[in-house]
Amino acid sequence: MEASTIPGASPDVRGSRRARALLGRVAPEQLGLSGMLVIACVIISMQSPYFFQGENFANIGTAVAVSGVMAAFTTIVLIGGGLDLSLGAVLVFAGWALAVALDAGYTAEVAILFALAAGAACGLVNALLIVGVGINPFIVTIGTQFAFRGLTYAWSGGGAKSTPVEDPTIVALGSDSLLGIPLPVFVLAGMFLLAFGLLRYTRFGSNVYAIGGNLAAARLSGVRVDRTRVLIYVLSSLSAAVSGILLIGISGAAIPIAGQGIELTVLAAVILGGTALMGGRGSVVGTLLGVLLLGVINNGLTLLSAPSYWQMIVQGVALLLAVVFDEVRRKRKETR
Amino acid sequence: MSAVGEVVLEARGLRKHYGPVVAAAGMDLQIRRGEVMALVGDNGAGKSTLVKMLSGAIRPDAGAIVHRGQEIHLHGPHDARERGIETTYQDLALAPNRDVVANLYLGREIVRGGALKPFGILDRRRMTRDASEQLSRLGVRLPALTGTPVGRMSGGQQQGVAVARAAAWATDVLFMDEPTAALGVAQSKAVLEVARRIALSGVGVVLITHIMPHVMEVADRVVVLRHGRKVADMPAAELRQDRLIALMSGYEEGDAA
Repeated sequence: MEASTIPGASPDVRGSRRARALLGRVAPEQLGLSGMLVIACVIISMQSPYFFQGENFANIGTAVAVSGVMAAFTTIVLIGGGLDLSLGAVLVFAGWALAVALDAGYTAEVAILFALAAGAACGLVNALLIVGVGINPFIVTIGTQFAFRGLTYAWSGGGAKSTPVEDPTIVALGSDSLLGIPLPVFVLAGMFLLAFGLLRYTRFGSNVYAIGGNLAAARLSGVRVDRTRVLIYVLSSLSAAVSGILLIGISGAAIPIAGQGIELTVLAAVILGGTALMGGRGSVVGTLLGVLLLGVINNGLTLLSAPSYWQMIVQGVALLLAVVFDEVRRKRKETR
Repeated sequence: MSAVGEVVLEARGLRKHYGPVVAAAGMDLQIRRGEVMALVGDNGAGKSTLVKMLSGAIRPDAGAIVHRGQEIHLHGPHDARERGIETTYQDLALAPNRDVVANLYLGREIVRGGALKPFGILDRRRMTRDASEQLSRLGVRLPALTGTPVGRMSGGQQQGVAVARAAAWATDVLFMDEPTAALGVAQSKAVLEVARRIALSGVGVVLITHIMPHVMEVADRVVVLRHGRKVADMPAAELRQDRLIALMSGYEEGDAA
């Protein structure tokens, strides 16, 4: 109640304050990340003349699309104080659902809807255990990760065998381009815009931040906490289903053993982007930068013909660095 | 708004057990419009339990809650809120990472109408404008309405946000759980003034507090609880501070009106 300024003194002052608030929200973490992205691009382009070509950018875009789609929505999961480690398993489960529907003679559109429904069902199972029963999301989604993947193996005949997918619509979705930009990049952009809009402009997004900041307070304030958290996990699984469809389009096959550990790549990108592991803070813009940074580094390592284990090492180190940064930020906030 | 002095919310024989522990052993309470009631008692007397039952945060084991003359069943804080029964909690119940506007409208965000309605698109401009009006009406001053998380504000400012939020929606009853516990002298005075102002608008205000001078300063009526029972219920004017403490600690048996 101390008087420093009166709320909303004049529209002029308010406008400039809003601009400053917006800048303040974007600035520190995301500027650092953008800087790292630029530096990575410069270093790689000095080493490889091939890097700065349109075709290579298209490659990067396609390569990050699968994990990027999930990263956009994992941002929402983490901000809401949750965790979803079942993404890779949901990805193949929904992917297998797509393949089965196509095999049964349904059109690509129906098959896609079926795959999305399979994904949503996985999300509901996670939500039932996390929100309904009240079990820690870490434990639940490790459990469902095994269960969903096991179900996929069983569904695919027990041998975890891949099956080719030749449906022209699905294959086009993974490999065609529009205006020189691969279609998976459009899907990626669309999913990022959707996640961004949900978080910034809707009641759902506002509630996600509040729940991640102080779940008890949100509940006491009348936020429909359970409904919001169920929606978070369903959206997360839906994003994994979209990734599963994309992956089949890109690879031309439904592969039950695909996407193992991809949730950790996704988490690395999201935390690198400045989203707090403990919830309440983060942004989709930061995640996009995190996704691009990891994508560019992986691409660089490929161009420089570094052995593929280097990608794993870089990703692991990036995840650890991101968690260290997150911890440092948290400590600094607490002492302020 | 209905007549001042009318009983707006009533507890009839509310009981609550936690295992063998009796938190409320049949409590009666009448909350009247326009009145500031101080609810006092030692730790464990059952103040919080009573308020939580009346605000829907916990369910009583037995007894009835009567709102505007009708028995009601509260299935959560949301339920109480829809009836104009609001609570500010001791631990504030704010989202520390959100700004003032988001907190004032937490759980009750204004969304745009028309074709966009099902998507729940926030009407931030309207929320900011309304919040600004509401705060100046209550005389609560804050450094920034948007962009600054309330977690970075002082205890008094956070209490201001919590009170303003509850006051904005309380049409019938406002429970304030230890609103001055963490505040300095000037800030406490400001919060008590806000409480009085809210009561003047025809709301029944119930103030839970340990601080006796605050009771004497602001309350119209004082209710004393001990061991889950009401031991006294009287106009504040008839009460001296030493007698109040004797009642709370059990040296004197009052007559629970």
